[in-house]
Amino acid sequence: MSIMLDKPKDQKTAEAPRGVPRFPDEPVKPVKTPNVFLNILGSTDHKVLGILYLILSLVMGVVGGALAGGIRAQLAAHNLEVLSPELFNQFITMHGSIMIFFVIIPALAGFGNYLVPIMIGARDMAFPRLNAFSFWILIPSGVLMFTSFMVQGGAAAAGWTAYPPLSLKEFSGGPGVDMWILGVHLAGISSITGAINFIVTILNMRAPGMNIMKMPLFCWTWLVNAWLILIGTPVLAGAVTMVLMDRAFGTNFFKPGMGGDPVLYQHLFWFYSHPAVYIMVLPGFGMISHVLASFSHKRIFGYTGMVWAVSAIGVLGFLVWGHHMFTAGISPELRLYFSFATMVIAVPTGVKIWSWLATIWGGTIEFRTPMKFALGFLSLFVIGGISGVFLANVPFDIQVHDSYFVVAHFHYVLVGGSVMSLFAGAYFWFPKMSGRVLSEKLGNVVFWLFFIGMNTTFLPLHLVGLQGMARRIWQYRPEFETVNGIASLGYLFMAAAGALFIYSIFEALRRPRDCGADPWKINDVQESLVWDIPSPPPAYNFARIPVIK
Amino acid sequence: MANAQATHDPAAAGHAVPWDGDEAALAAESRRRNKRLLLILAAIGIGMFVFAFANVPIFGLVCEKLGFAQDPGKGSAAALASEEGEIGRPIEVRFTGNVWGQLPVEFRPVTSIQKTNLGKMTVADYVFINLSRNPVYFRPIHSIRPTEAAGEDKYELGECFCYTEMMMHPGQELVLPVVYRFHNGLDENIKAVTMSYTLFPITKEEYERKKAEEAAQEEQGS
Amino acid sequence: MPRPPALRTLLAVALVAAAGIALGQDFANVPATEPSITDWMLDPVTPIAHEVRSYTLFLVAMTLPYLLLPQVLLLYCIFKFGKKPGMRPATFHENVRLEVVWTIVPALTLVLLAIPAYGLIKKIENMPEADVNIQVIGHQFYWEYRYPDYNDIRISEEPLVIPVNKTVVADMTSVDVNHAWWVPAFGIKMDTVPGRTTQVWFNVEREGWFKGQCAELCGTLHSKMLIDVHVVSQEEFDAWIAKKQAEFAPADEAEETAPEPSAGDADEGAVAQEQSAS
Repeated sequence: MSIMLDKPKDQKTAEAPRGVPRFPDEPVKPVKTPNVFLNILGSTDHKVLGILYLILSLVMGVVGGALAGGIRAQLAAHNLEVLSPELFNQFITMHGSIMIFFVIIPALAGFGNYLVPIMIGARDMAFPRLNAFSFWILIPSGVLMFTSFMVQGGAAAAGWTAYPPLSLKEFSGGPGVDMWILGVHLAGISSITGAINFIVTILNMRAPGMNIMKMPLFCWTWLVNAWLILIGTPVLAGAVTMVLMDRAFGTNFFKPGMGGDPVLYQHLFWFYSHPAVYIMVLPGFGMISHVLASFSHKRIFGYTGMVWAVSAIGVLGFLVWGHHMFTAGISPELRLYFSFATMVIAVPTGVKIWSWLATIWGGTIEFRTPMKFALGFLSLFVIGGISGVFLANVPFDIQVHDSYFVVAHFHYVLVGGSVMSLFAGAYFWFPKMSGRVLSEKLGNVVFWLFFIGMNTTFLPLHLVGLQGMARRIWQYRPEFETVNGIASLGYLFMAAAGALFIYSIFEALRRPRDCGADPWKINDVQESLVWDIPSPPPAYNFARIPVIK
Repeated sequence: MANAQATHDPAAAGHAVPWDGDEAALAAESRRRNKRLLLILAAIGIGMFVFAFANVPIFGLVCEKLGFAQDPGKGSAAALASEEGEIGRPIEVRFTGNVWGQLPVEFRPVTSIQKTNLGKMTVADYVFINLSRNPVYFRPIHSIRPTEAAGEDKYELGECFCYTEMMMHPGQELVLPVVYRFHNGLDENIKAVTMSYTLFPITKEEYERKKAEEAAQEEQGS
Repeated sequence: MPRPPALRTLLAVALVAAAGIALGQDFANVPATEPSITDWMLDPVTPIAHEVRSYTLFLVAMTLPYLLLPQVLLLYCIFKFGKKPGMRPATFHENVRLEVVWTIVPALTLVLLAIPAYGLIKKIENMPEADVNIQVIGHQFYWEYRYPDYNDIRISEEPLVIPVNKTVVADMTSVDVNHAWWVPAFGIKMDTVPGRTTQVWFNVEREGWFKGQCAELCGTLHSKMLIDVHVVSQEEFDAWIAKKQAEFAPADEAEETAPEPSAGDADEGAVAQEQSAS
């Protein structure tokens, strides 16, 4: 029953949104200029910004994917020289940085921007102009990172972890690392201001009756996520600032022999970058919850448990950074603590997995494209989670730390987890954003190409990692050739899936906007607000503020 | 009416109905609360940035207590004073000498492995040779393993070149001692200790500044 | 297309499994004549590697149910609960008892996993009494090894030679960026950090060649920082040491008698250093 479309009984109230103060302090109405381009540039509408985030993420996804292609081409066979070793190190550094800071995080921010205000019954984010700032500052950040390939000495090549002393002036002389650091700063500012906006929006802007324990899970995951960003990202910013100061101003934060300590950088870096793993996957959890429940035609199982699990993951995420440093020479007692704390995270993560399974259990499952991606996510994320438990155990981790086993593990989490959930979300909410459903036929092909490609690429890499192939190496010993050849083959599948996905977006955009408010016919399940309003939603979403009973 | 289902009651499933309260008052109220929360959250963000820098001294202190420090100091003489002269069980001490990167200094212990006793003051000599035709400036850093032996109350350095800014003339050769003693209460399991020294280059300016500072301090002292 | 993708799922699983089996074969077929990297899971050669291997198998055994059960349940749901005409979805959405069980049981499993780890960590960390001491120094982009027991013999860019069945304790450091010394068959890996000393120990059970490589990104030629360890009998080791010591000593004299190099500070210094050392 979509009340928002109903003709209000009182004609005066219907006109009211123009007259009443905006919710909360909004310029009266976006100025209609004939220039669409200017309209977008000056927009503070959360929906426009959300879509801009998603477009940026898609474009950078192509860039990051191309870099991955370079890496896989270089590693396709023994002793190839597709890339020079210098360029190879730049590729791995930028592949990681771009995928994290410009693909996954902005994509999640895009979905969050678009959906959170609608889901909580608000007309926009709490600070629309700050929201626009958060997005636009990502552009110079991305430009800095990307153009660093063209400067002397090339882009940063010290890995996305940028450990000193390797990232210090003595070993990375060119301006690449400086540009990388400034890029990370700007991306960090974007993340932090965005996170503040999300927290304020979710805590203060909920429609009357939208009790926090009634809030859709996607909003919950974003709330926890925003706290992680707010607490973690400034520490990363501090750490890279210290590297920058060591490089440019002759300070000695991390210079061994000058009173500095490179190991301190590792602590600070992982204090952010372990929670960053959750920053990259928590909102994905939220999206998966919505998709699974919707296409099973059931309510999400164990809502309260899910909320607690997400919150627990958020808190625990800050207590486990040391598991990235098991071979850095920290004491056995500390290692045992970090090991155990890390394993504890598996418990709330497990709660989520079981609850998702219970959600689809007994439902009437429709195998639409978003649901396929969600089910694929469930399967792949379990694998990534279990290999995570393996890595949490010190004796095993010492053996495979910095090997391809770790690479396989985190790609199962980030590609099998985050990217699969992004695909699920994209297919699920694209109709809401554009008024058109993405082609199911193409979607089916995209899913199978991606699912097979992802497994072909990363499953075999566990094996070479166990066998002794270190990560971030430009050439490898001949005995790893077969496995790497297979992995490179898998990349082609994933690249094809990506290309087809982009094509299917353009294909859909050529069709008329006729999918209706609820194209999936799922409004009997939960998210009344999103699927009640038209697709795409009007400016300010709701003619009248809804009240949730 | 896109999805009205005959059997379905929207309100029961948590669906929304229009709110009939005062939107203007709600907006004003949330604007006020938003601003306050914004300030709090911004303060947290800035606080975490400062926290990153605060970690530099905190980390140093923690490491020193635990024996992980790159700069474990010279040990604590006070903790050992009570057992002056008491000779404990035998222990093996290994010495290593390294130079940073391309620093043209030959640096090595005269004896790589010493057998001594806990509580006994022992002398180990290191050889320094400037291999270049220019003066070199550097600072030696020491590190002790295992970490149980590196806590500040576990050992004492009587004389040591560590953390002293040094200058060597072209071709100059030096033999400098490390005078050390390990505490009697060292963990039973520790049969051998490694004392590692690495020479890190410093600039001439830094060397001169440090020397000037030291001179100034001495003047103040006397 | 409301068709359960069951067949295709199975096909995908089969494909991946087949790939895995093919790979397993590939491991076994590495020519035995050439020294190759030794798979620590198949052929551990130190006490630590044996224990790490058993611990890993224990991990696999304990976590396998948690890996398989969700996949089986997922497949079951896909086959069983696909939408068919006339079917109505179940309406349950919570079950406190079930939720408590799936919180507590995995938590207990994790405690079981952590307990044996502690003893093993201690064993890795606590250095036993050494039969042979070595020093490992990471450089961009090669490894330097020193034998302090044997007149501080130093070798660079050549295989580390150690005797079989002897406890070797290595003091490690770096003189530029971080590196990590990793020989998979020995079950150890340790970062080398400039200004700090780290330690590992191993006692290799059989003679042979063991390979490894630097495991911490250290710059352009990180991939070329290979590690070769040649484990030999005590007699061969003594002979090798004698040969190396001989190489060191005559080189000294030769340089001493040789005419002064015209240019090259380093050479000059090296001579001076050798004189003072002897």
